[in-house]
Amino acid sequence: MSSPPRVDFPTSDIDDIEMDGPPQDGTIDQSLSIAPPPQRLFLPGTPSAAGTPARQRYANSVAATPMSGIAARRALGMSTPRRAPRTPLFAPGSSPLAFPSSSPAKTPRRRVAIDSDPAFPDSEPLAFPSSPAAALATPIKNRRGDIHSSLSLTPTARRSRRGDYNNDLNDNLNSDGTHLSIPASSAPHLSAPAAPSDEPDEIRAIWGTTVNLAETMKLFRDFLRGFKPKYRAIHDRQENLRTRPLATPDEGEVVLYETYMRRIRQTGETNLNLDMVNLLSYPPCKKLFAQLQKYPQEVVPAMDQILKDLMLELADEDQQAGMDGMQGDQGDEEIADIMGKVYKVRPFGLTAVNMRELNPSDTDKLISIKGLVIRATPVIPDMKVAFFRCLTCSHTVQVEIDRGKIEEPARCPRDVCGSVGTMSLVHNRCEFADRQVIRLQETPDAVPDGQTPHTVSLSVYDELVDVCKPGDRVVVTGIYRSVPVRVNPRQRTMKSLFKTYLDVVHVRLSVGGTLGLDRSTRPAGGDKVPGIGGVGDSADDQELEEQIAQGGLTRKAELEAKLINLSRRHDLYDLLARSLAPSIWEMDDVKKGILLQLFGGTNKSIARGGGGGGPRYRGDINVLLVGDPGTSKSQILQYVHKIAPRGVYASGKGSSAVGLTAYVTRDPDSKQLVLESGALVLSDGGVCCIDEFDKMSDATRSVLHEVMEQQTVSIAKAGIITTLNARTSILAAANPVESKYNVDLPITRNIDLPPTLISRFDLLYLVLDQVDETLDRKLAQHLVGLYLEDAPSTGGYDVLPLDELSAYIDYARTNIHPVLSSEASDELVASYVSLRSIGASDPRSSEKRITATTRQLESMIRLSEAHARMRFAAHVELQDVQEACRLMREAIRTSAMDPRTGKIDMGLLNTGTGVGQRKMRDDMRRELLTMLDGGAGKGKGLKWGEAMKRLADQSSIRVDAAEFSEVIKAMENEGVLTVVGERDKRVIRRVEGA
Amino acid sequence: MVSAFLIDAINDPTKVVQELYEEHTGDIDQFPTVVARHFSDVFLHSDDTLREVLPLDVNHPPESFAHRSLVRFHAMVQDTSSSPEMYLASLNKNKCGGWGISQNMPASEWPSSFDYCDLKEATALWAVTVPGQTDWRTEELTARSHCGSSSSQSPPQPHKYPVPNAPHIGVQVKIYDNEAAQSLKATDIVTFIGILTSESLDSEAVSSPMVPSLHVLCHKVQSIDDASPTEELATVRDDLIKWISDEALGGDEVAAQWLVLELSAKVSVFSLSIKRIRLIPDTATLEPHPSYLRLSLCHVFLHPHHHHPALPTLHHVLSDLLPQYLTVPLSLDLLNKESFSPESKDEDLHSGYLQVPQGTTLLLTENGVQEGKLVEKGIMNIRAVQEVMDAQTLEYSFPFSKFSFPTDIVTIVLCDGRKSAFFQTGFIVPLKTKPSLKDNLYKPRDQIRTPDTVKLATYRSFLAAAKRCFGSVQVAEETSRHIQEDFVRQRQEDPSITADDLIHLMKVARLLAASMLGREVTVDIWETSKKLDASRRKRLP
Repeated sequence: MSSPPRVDFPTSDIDDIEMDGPPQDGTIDQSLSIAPPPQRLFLPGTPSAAGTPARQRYANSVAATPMSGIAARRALGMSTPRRAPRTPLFAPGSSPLAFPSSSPAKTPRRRVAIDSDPAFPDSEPLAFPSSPAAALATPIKNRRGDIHSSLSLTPTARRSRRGDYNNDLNDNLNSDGTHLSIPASSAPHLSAPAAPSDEPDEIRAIWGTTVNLAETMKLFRDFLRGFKPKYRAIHDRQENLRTRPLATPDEGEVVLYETYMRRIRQTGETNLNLDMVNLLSYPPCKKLFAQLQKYPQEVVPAMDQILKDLMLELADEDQQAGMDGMQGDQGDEEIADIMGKVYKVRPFGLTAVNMRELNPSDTDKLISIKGLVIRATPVIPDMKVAFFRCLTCSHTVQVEIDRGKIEEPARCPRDVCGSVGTMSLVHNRCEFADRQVIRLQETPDAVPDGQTPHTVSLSVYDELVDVCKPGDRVVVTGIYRSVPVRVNPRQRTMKSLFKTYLDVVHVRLSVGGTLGLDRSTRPAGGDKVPGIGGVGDSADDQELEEQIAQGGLTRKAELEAKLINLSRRHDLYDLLARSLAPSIWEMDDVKKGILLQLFGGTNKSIARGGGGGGPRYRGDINVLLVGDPGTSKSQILQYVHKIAPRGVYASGKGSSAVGLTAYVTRDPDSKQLVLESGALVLSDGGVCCIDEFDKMSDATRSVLHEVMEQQTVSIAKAGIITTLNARTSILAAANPVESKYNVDLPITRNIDLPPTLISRFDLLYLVLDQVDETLDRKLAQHLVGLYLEDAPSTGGYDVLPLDELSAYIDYARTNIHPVLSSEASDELVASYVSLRSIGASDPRSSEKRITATTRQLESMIRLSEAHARMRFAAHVELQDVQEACRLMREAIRTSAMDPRTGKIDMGLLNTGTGVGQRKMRDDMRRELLTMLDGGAGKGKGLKWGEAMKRLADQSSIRVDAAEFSEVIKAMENEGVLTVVGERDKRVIRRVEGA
Repeated sequence: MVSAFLIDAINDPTKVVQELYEEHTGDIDQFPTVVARHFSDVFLHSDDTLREVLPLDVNHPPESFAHRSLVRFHAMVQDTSSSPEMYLASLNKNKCGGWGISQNMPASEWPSSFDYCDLKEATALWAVTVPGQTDWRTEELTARSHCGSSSSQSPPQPHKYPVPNAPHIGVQVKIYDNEAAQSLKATDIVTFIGILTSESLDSEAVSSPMVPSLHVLCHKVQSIDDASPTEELATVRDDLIKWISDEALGGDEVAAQWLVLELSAKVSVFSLSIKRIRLIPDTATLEPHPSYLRLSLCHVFLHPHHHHPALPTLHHVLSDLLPQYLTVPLSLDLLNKESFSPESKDEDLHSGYLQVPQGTTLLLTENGVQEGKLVEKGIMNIRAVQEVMDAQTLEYSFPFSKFSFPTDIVTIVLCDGRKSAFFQTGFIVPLKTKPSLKDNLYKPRDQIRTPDTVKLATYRSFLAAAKRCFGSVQVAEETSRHIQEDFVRQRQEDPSITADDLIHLMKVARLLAASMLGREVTVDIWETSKKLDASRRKRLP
């Protein structure tokens, strides 16, 4: 390194040249031609502009143009004076560094002047005409993944894309054609985009349009400085949208975005969500709306820039004003902090279109679509800048991503080296960003009848990564891209086909058309979109949403008013019950019960309990329908499944315990063990409808015990031990044992379900098919009417449409949380006591019967809460409790009627034996003992069959064999008697001394 | 008369497209419609011209055609979920870009600059040979008897064909006329005419298999109703019943009569309007009624001890009568391993047995079932079949969502024993074979006395006519009063009669009317159907 080298200009200062006018292309070429043979190892780390090789080639190909002549002259003129001072100063500083080029600036072009050329101190101001802050900002800003183009501020991006198809310029990063055709080349913008005011008279138009970027930036600046909520209110009024009345006139006068920017500063956020409708409603900015929609690639970075400028300005102003937290050094620190940050504007608020409606003309425009996330890749490190080093001369080059591709330099760009195929990627010097690819599928409601759903790919970057998970419904705003497909990545042949995807700028989680999930079951803010804060747009963020007064809210307000109106109707309860499955005939009480189930009681947790807020008492109401076949139980279930929040429908026959709870599988992609949720877990916060409940296997049903009281599902499989939440209401339907209900048998004998499970249902309805001439006639008319020409009329009275009913329930579930009033609790106590004492106070018998247990009390509380919720009432009142009790009585009366006594007996449900039955057993036992003690049987015992026969002779009712053996078993357990022998030869013997 | 257009189009369709393009230059938006109209005019107006085009089928597999030759493909749309494809509609030098013309051209021929306005979309979907299309129907459509080289090569993407391991053709279809393509639904039967090429399945993936692709010039959806005279067919009914009973059902005419009733069933227009309302399936009626009998024919302890691996004779008879017919030989192995309902795995819709076109008849035979264990998949399969029987809907599973598709499938279950082991069928008809004809239930095909082709043709058109009639059968006012009274009276006599019985009987009456090619349920027909049902009930043990 000691020998004074001949200097040539492999990396001549591009910025410098461009500013002087002619393109740089010729320069290198020229310097090559005039330079003497290169010296070995002259500049080990000489950085070079990424596009150098292309330039060379380009220069060769256009050598004949007059331009090259100018270039040549320039190059000559430049090279001569500079050579001299460099020589002596050169050697010492640069050699120890392996890659000396990397440190100061990221943009390859500009790096040139700095450390490797210490001899050029005077050239630096030329290379960096703008302030250091701006220079710093520029490379960072360029990394914004969603906008995707490093040169997005300038026409270059569009042009270079075109260049891709030009074979000659194929691997040229920044096609030189740009510079030739547009004299105002890209470089100046890059070097000073932060200070647009520096060059006010410069024309910066979006290529191919009349849109002036400087004007656009000015407009946006005005918008951020001038937009007030009152404009939005005016706009909404014009569009005939209902607006939320402003609380005070002052509220409409707040400069909204300045408030937001202050909040961004305070919270350290970097994203500003921009409701595009606000742009539209601010009169001077109407144009900006269209521009943003059409040229997001250019306008969004410009907006980012303005945002940052304004952040600084505002911080400065606040510091001047001595605002709290912005005084003195603290303020300086804040400002320095802001300088180092990258701010991003995330526009949203366009009307979402169906993904089928996207067409090629939307390419590179800002669009918004809705869908269901079906798959999301893990985070992919997305290379933003690749760092290459020449294996021969250790020359390093950085290449930026362009249209999703990085072109590997085919040869060392340094002219003295020029080796082919020696550039190797140095991974740890490359820059990466987070990226995730998401597949978005059409939601069922958007798919045309009879078609299968389409899917579209989304690319999300940085903060938006991992915001949505598979299964989420989202509304995304993004730039629609179409990129040509190559037949083979290694070949130059292309297909005339294009692949399309969306570069997402904004994600919004949404809920579908049916009821949302029960929000009280979610941790606060758990589903919130991270990184978007500052200016809330997530649906959960009520308070902020009100401030922003966006379209969703106004529509919401309208709906809200309608629902509240509805809630004032005096016949509300009947109307809602009628609207539930309007086609199903009669069964009013069943419908009312299910209606209350949909509303649900409030979930209570005792805050002072153990960790995590203590135990939680379920507010979910479980309903069981038992009845004859053909009584439209399944239809009710299907209906509820359709409107219920997170409704899941399972048929007992088709479900296994595994299908209901959760099971462990291997993920096909990652080969890792994953838990897949079954119906119960999936319906967490919703309603799980289980048909054919009786046909379920015992193992499956046993799972339900845990679910219905603890509301969790425990899994211990394949090394995964966990408890999943299954806070779900269960609506089940079952057939009686012999498929037809036998009214002569108690209900527990009719339903083949363990009493422990039955008692977990708050309401149990018997849906019986009774023979009744008028009813039959009506039914027959209805059925035959189906085949007549005119469509049958179903009642004809007014019913709520499905979506309104669903909206009503949803609203009530989210917003109404009634608490018990003292009056109501007194009534509850009284009702409970009276329910319990029904049996006891019966004068005709002194037998004690259990009519209601605490479970029923809890049920009553839940039902009354649900009823209050339905009325949109904040307190549970007397009428709620009364209706709850009535429903309970109705349900109990039919289900807990002891067929022998005709009395309500909850013991039937809880223990499986009714009082009447128990009395009969006692009688049987007494008789048996007398038989054994006295008479012939003494000592020798009594034959089984004979005992039964003798009992039957004595009794007025038939002796049930099963009952008899139950009695014997019980007595055997007590040690009163023993049974010897098998089957028919069984002999009952009295145990002596007992 | 064979027009010059026709010959041109058959010989070099690409050239015709290019010529059209030059004629209509400057109007790229409308160009696909122009192409579709031109080729429809040439080919689709009569069957004769249509038949000039070489068919693509199992006997004429894609490999047997030259690159970019014109073919017609009678197919079922299996999957419409693939994303539309974007292509450059206009290339250099006024060249047309669609219809695969610009495939794999060297980049040097690429336009150095292009306008995003020239990007157009083509609908892409997957179509397969119509599953269950019977031989006579194929022949009728092909109208060419020369046997091509039947290739043993397995078709690509076999999971997209409903019947596993069956020979078929699967083709990626690209339709450039988007508006027309939008109306195509899964399981529609469509005749496509287009240029056959071979392309990689997923243009975005690096390594994706090459599949045959059809660039459609024009297409036609098969319509069900082609009116043919019904009068002279009225007498055919008895002959048909006699033939079926003698040849396939051991001389049991009652069973044959039930069979004919079931074969005349389809989802009627009326229940259509009720059932197909999304989200609110039951706003208008107590219960949607698919008009199927859900027939199961039971051989009561006919062959209790040995199983018949062979196909029942009924299979041969039905495949001679019906255009689309499929036998599903149920066995535990099949139930546990194959899928019955379509499922999307990795964004690829895998087909299942039940993904068949509307109007297909399924014969489920249970005689191959042995003892063993039914795993979860088997249970789900049985549920899917039951769902089709009960509600005529089939669920397609997609990640995080299920889509219910309307079907129109006649199901007949053939079982040993008293009733079907797996399915709840609406009607059970125990077979009573005549001793002399006892063995004919499983006789091979060559022992069937097939009537002459003319007779067979009348049988076929009779069944088609009955199906058509069924949609328009109505219940007269007077009859409906009669039925109501009848029901009330019966219920008082026997409380075990439920509404379901009435619904079933109503179905029988309507089917009976249809199979007599009548338009109305009269009191006579009501009484006859009651008798018919009574005679069936008598056989039930």
